[in-house]
Amino acid sequence: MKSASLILFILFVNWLQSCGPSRRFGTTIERDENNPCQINIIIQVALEGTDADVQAVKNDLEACYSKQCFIPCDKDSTKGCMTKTTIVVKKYGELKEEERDAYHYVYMVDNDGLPSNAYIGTPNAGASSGTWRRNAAPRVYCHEVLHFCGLEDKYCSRIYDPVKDSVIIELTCNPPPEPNGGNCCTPSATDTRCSTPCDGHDHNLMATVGADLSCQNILDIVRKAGLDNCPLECCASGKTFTKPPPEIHVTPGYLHFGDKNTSFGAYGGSTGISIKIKSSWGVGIDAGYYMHTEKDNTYKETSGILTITGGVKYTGNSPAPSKLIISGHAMAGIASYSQKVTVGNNSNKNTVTSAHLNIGAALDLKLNRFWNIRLLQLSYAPTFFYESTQHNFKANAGIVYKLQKR
Amino acid sequence: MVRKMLLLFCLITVISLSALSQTVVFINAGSRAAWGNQQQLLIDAGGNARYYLREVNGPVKDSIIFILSATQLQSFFEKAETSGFFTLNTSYDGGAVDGAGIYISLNNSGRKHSVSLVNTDVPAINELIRWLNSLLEPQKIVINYGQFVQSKRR
Repeated sequence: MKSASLILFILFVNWLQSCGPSRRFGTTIERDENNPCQINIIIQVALEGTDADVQAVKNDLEACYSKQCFIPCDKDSTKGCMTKTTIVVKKYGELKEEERDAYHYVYMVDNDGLPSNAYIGTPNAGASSGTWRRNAAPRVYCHEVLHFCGLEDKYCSRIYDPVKDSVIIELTCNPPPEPNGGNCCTPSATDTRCSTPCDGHDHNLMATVGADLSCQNILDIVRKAGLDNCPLECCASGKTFTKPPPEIHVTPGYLHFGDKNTSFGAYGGSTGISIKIKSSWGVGIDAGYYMHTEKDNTYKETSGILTITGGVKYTGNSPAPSKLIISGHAMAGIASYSQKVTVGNNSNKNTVTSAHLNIGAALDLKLNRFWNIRLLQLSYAPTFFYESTQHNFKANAGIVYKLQKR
Repeated sequence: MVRKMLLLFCLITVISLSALSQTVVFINAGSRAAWGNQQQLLIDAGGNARYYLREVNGPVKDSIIFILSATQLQSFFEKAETSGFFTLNTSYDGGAVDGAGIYISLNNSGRKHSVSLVNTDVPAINELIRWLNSLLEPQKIVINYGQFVQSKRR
């Protein structure tokens, strides 16, 4: 029953994350409404294909575009803004009629060894389209999405025509010059079409799918939208983009403690701090105390559980417009279980300690730069007292304060 | 006199052989990106055909040498004439980037013309390549420049 509740909760959170309001364009580039030092790039792609296509393309693009890039201030390159890219991939047939114009349209076809294609789009204006081959090589979809965002190819190509005994110019570099002394590359009677990256683009994803997405690619996109700069308020002082600030949480809650021999519900709360070490990953410590009291005439039993854990925390990338933040945590530490039994004027206290795990997820609602409301945090928190395993569950809600300068 | 006749005979033979080995059909089909597969087919006036399937800037994946009969080659040129190949523009571009296309260059008794297609369809080219693919069927070669995919643009 408890497991089913947990699964339902996770499904609910996933649903909440997937139903953020969609943007008007295939590629939307804008400053974050709450943080002008963050530039949000939201790319919406609708596939005419199978569910498997949607999942495969989504996985590929999310892996490629998880990169966050720094836009330095003009006068102080240690300060600046950050970009955050959000990829939304949906099945074209499942979009509402009015949503369709806000998604790049992709027609999925079987892989016949030919490259996928794309029409070059414009950020913050309409949406583009393309025909993509299934099971394409890594980074091909990533490359085609850059076309949707307005970037051009950075390779040139030539064809040798043995009938005319001449070399035909197929694609040229923009801007010139062509590599290899202006010849691009040299096709021959046995290799009649050749292609090579334009000068300075050997490691550019727009020239070769052998290269990874770079921050230069991202900044080129942002430049197309005229947002490749950092406003004065971000470069002056307090609002300058830095790593996400540490967070302190205070979350009253309920702990269901016990095993097959004994069980009870305890009320108390947890507090702790988490520090981001990467955009999504952080470390944290958490301390909690939960208490349960039973009274019967002169008999009183008080149980207290003190927990201290430390571990990792993962914060998911929710769609930029969404104010909901989902996070997961996996921590380990110790728990101290004290029992005080009072009968009349006599009392006896017993305390034992055990290893303790704390694994769960939390859903926060972002209020402003400083405060979040923790709507719900559910944790599985087993302990191992008396050579037995107590399968404990915690439910908390409360507040989160972000430690940053005002 | 005999020496002069022998010299003339040799000259005519060399010119004839040279003319026969002149490439009269050249096709490069497939990738128009910096990756992906491309096919190339070269046929000389004697019907000697060389076919390669290779990756762009990459290794040869498949190749075959075979002979088309004079009748087959003639039928191909007749198809080129009736489909209007020699009156087509030299270039058709669908506007998309990367993707696939075809470059066809023909020399029909000294009448030369080439057509390039990128990410688009031209009925005359489809008709000509359909005919060519029927001639190449015994070799299990299918020239593919994306014509089998109904590319959609919204």
